[in-house]
Amino acid sequence: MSQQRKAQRAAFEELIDPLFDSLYGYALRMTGNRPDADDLLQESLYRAFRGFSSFRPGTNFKAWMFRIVTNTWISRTRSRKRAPVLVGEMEEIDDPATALHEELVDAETDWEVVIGEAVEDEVKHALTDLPEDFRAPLLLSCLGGLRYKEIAGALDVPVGTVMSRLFRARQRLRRSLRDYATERGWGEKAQPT
Amino acid sequence: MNCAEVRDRLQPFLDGELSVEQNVALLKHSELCPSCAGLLEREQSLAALVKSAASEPVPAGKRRALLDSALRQVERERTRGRRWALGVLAALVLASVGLVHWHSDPLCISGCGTATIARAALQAAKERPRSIDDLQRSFPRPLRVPRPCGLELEGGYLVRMFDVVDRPLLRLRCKRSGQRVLLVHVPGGHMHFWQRKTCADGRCYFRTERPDLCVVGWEEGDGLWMVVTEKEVRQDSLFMAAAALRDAFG
Repeated sequence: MSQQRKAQRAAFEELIDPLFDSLYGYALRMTGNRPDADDLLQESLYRAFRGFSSFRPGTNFKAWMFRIVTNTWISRTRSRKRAPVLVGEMEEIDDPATALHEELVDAETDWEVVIGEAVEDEVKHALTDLPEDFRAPLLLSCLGGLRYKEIAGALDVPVGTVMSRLFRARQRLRRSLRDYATERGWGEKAQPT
Repeated sequence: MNCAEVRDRLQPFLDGELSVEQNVALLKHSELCPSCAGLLEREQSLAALVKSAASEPVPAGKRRALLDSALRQVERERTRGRRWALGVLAALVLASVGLVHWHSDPLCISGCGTATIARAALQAAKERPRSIDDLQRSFPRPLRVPRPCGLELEGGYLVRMFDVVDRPLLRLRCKRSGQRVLLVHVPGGHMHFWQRKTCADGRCYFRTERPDLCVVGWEEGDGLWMVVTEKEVRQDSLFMAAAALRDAFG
């Protein structure tokens, strides 16, 4: 191996190291199981290193990596000809009455307790339960720290769509966590007596 | 900025999508408004919660294995240059060594890939069964693979591989050449995407070619079956033998 290649490999490894856990988390949440996540991440790493010369130093490596994982994931799911995910059920949130109701329930929830008590497993479940179209932008934003424009580019949708999907994803997540809290009997604000 | 405006911009604010002026205006408002400050805090902790829950710690060994195989694969492709058709296949297969099984059952030693298991299986087959226990595990019936595939297999009994992992294997012999052929089951094993090769019978097989041994296999149920030979055999012969063995066990 030439010196130049060694240096390139070292540079790549140094950049990838701090991102590994979040990239793997992203792959795992998107695929839902470890063998698929392993394959997805491995193929992404392969693609990334192959195209590493096209990465411009100084630009956002994290966003670049998350974008590659997203592209790989999209091409893999497409090649498996999976049925498109229906997002129709989320439309109800657009209904003003539902939105108002959500807001009222939110206001009655003691979020400090809900968030404080929620175990990671529950959040993981809630994330996995999100439809893919909402899960991807949420993870890209929370985990990858990608800008709206970058998410829009990675998923090939307009920025407006990214924003509305993020909004809905978070709303759905809050709802799952709230339900979880209610099931366990905590999280409701004490009624004033 | 009033409460409604703050609530509208809360998410873009947390995602760093607002201008500096808007950021300042939002923070100024929430300093004075406990209700908006509460919302802001809630969204912040929710974002932190998602971030920590969604991230998944990867053990160092697995990290190394994933990275190494991907990088090595690229390096091999580059080295091979124009003979890419051959090169890609070989690199992909070689890159898979040490990775095929690292997520399988806990018995599996990290880095113990197809070739390692195959080689150990061959080694084990050279030795006599080590105890009465092993003999009692003998395969109850002689297995014949009466296919015109060049590899006429017969006999065989189950032994255990002590050397690598505690896996059952079936030792067979090619009638014509006396060559050892082994059938190994790897619980929890699975193929990688680059190894898949669909054959005439519509099944998906994988294969590994190395100078010292020849492996083909298939996924079934919750595991992987591998047919291993010591020397080079014609690939399609081995595929046919694998299909015959699979039928015999299925």
